[in-house]
Amino acid sequence: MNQERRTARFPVLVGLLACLGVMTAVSAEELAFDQIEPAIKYRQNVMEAMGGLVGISAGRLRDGLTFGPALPEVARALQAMTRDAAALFPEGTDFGETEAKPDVWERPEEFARASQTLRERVDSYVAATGQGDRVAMLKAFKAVGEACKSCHKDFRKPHEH
Amino acid sequence: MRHWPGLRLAVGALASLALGASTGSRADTASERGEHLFQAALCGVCHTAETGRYLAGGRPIETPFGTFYTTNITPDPQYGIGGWSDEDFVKALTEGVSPGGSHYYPAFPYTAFTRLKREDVLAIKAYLDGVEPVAQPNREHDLVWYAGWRWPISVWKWLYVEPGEFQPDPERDARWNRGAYLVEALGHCAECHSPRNLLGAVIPERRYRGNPDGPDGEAIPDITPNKESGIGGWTERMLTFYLEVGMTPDGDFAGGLMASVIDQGTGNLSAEDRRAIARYLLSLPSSEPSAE
Repeated sequence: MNQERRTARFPVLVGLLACLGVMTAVSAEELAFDQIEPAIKYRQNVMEAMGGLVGISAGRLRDGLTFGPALPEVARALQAMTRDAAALFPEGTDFGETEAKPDVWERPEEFARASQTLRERVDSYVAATGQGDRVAMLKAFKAVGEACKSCHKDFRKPHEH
Repeated sequence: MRHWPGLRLAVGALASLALGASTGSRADTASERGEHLFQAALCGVCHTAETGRYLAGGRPIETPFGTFYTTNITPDPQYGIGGWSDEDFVKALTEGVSPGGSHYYPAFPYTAFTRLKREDVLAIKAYLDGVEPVAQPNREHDLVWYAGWRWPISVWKWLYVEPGEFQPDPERDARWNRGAYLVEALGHCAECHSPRNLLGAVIPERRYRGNPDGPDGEAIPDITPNKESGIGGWTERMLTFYLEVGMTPDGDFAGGLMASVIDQGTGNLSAEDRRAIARYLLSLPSSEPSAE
């Protein structure tokens, strides 16, 4: 009886191990182990570039500065950075020097939606900078900010300035 | 009143003038004014659990003394505060004492709320009276053994709470005083942004200098005008904008608890109130880099 049950368990065990093997193989295919650290650094650089571009936008919209890079170009550069924010978080880049919460990989649909929201809001911001109406630009810019903040709230660990 | 629509209008207009003058907004009824104050006091941030019903409590607050679970503040008569009198509510907020006479743990920031004006406390109650009641029982706190008794809290209060309403500083202008009231009495910013001693009290001389062991294990930053560790490099406009949108001067965005504070609190205040908070915070004494 006991022996029988054990034999019955054996294929299950083999199955589980096989699944594990496949899972490891898939993630290894997505990103080689020695690419994980560079990928995290790469992501952080893109995020910092976003922050820089948002900060430049604020210099014009919040502080009223009128020299330096033109706002429509800054907005388009931000657009380039935010086309697919979720793609910056491939499987395997959840450990090491990252502030990303496990939620990024545990709730992928929600994360993809947040990424899509960012994309749409930046598109609207780019459109507003093309029109040049200050009130509309500020409104669109704040909407971009809302997207950044809401995503950081759900998907980033507490951050020290 | 039905026969005197003109009188009613006049009374309403007078009341809103008087109320508007003290909140700096165009709130009409006590309940609307209360909602504004409720947001400024950030009640909803703690009294709503992540996936829970609005204001029904149950949000865990992790501290060195264990985990506190916030309480149900909906008007449910059994599990919420529906049966409370005005006096009960005032006593809870300004003295930290429950209607049954027991002491609240200072995780509930009556250390700050004792500075509230009585009329503001009652306006907050008027708002809470109107929210949807939720019949959800409170969860018991999960504390270390020595924090299990409530009677020592009376000693704690004697040591660390200075009761009394906010007194404006006549040397300062109205905006600064409004900011001081918003920060010290309503927003209770110091509760998270200051380190605490072994008994869990804010260390007065390090007020606003940040807390490496903040709630939920978050490190909370220094918000004194220290150029190195604080917000000394921020202008009043930058800070006002941050309190509205959450964007730091370097283009980063608040996350974690502060994002909730902005979403549910400062982001909904009037622009004038945000400016007042900024004015007050930037007037605080700066922490020295060597003080850490």
